Amino acid sequence: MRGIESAGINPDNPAKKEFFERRNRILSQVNNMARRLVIFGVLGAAIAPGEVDPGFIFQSQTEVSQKKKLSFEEKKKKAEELFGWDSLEAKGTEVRNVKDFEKIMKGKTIIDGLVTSSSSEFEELNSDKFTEIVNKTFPKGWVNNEVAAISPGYVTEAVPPEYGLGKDSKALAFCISQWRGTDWEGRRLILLTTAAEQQDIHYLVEELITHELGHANDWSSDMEMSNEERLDLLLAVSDRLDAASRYDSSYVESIKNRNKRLERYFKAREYWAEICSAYFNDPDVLDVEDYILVDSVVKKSDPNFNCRKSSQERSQMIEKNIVRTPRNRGNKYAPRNLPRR
Amino acid sequence: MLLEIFQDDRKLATLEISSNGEVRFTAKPNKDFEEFILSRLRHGITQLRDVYNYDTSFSIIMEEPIKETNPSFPLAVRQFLERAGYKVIEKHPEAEKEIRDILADFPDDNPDRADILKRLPEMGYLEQTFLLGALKSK
Repeated sequence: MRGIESAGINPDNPAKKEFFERRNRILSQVNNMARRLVIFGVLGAAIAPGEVDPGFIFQSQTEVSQKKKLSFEEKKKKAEELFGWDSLEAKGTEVRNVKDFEKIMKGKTIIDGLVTSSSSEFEELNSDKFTEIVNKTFPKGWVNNEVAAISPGYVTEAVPPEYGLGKDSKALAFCISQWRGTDWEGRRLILLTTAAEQQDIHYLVEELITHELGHANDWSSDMEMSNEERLDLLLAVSDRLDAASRYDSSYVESIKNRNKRLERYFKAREYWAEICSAYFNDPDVLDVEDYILVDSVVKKSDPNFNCRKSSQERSQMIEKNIVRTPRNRGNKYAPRNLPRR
Repeated sequence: MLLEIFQDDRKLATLEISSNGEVRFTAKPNKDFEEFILSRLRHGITQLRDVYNYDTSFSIIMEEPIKETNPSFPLAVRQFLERAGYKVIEKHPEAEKEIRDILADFPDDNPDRADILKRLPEMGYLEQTFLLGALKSK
């Protein structure tokens, strides 16, 4: 493919020359910003004043800002139209959390750091190692006070019959999101099942646990958002569901419900968890709009968090502390039944 | 859906999965990988889903079989390969083409144009969408 030849620019036409020079400067700035994004994972704050209008970069935030022009009541009304609050409210705590979280959490104990249950059967994936991986490589505000515990391998893979799922289905993880009336309220307990031991440990931590961290920090569960921020995030994620460039995930696409507004809400929940998982694991697979959406929430609680650096560090820690310890030394998560590599 | 499959930075195959669940290699794949994927597709693959129960406030990440006729099958193949420990990159040829079209309006000797075109085949979707957003906004 050939571009416009420089020689084609008439030097006697200053306006045209200035036009091309400006375009070249813009391309240079955009290219520099793209490189910074890929190398350092930074956008926005690192942008020096220039001819590149950063407007599009903040499009997501702009959209949120536009919604901020709506009053809190108007946003609630919009959410009701989109998701059918009335039917949701009758069923659970999700709506209650979005509307009244600050009131609900007032006076609750703040739990700092992750508490991981140790397993005497499995010395190598002990609480210290696992807790270190989680606490060191995720944003502080996304673990502290959000996830109460991650327990490996204590429960069986049987899916409770009330879920009405096929007999071939097996559970990999249970996530308890609300313990009402206790200091645990709002925090998540992630229980990995015996079936999870068959999964690649990298996948287990880098995809499955990051997905759950997304849920633990969504508009319904996050312990640090204001009520208005909750609605803003929910409405922004809802917008992304309609975008042509939305993130493709079987978690989202497999959701079906006769109540379409309820289906939309469930899809929004899973969409957020999936883009969070991608952000922590491999941000290069995300559309820049989804990246900004997650990054803006992460940076509120941990402004210096670098998803690329943390992802590398997490992968290396898993490799060093878990993968290299063989199964015959009690490491249930050592690679087994994996394809020939 | 177009997927590139890697292991330890070594490219093993490029897979194309049609919406009706047909899987084909676009070039000669690594032999071991070819055997693995064809065998697993014969026996059937599984997908993970997160199912939330309002009544118990429990959610379950569960594994279940998925049929080739399911519209989510291409996504399930991608997820299945990731779970098996491979690095899977979904290619977006339409975004790549759009960037090439925009850059065609810049001079040949522009160093940034050359730099972007050189990096484009290996570029992640994040960078591609960033470039598209920035260049289109002008």
